[in-house]
Amino acid sequence: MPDDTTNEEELLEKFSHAVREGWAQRHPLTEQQRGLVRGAVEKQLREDKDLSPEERRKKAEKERLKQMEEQEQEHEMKKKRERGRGR
Amino acid sequence: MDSLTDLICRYQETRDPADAEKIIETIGPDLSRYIRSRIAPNSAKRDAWEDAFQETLVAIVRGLPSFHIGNADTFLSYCYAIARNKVADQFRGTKTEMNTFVDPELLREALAGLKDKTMSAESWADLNAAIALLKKNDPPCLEYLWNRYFVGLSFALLGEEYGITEDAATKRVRRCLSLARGLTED
Repeated sequence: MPDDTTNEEELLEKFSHAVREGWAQRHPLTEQQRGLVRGAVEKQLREDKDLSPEERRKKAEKERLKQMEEQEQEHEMKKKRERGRGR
Repeated sequence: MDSLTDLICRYQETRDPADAEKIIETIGPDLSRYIRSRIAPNSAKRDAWEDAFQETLVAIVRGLPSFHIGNADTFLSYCYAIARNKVADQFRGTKTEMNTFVDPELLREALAGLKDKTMSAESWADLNAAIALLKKNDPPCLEYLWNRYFVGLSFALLGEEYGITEDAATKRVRRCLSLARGLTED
């Protein structure tokens, strides 16, 4: 099978790598963002502390279903938008 | 170094904030570039992209304990879906549309991080050639190539972005690359 990697693709892959590296150097996680992450963990731990294992399981399940629902809605919207672009 | 899935599993067991931070460190820069690519600094409200990024981080962290981990790809897909929702939230109720195209300011910002880094003349030449190649393309190819090579979306994520399969996304990018080859030959 012939190698279908073209010069253009190789160039763009190098570009992609440079962009990724450059962006990561320019935008590392800030102290404020780290604080937000830690704060979110601690808040959730406090919320969960008062729940029984059964309540925790139910809460996790509810959150998971909500995430799935949101992802499905999002996917449907994308499909509609893509169909619109195809016309 | 721990893999992303290892980190998530460990966090689900320990709920150690340090593990949550490591997870966010791993995915944060790519997510912030994605969000920034959708929200130009003057497009919605000031600092809108930073707000969307921070909201995305918090939502991801809150979802971690209940996330059914399959592999790193399913997790990334989940993170980008959250990011897309948070970006959309920033535009709700405004007449501005989100960015999906090449933003020269963003390109400058991304490459500014490389300024201090010693790069060979050949690497810079390659970089400039890639930028010139991108700019030669017209929509929708420009948009696909930009999302793939600047925003850094995998083919699977690109498919999700457009509501098409990974295979279809791969074929579209390949077709665009082949068109781009035609443009360079002209």
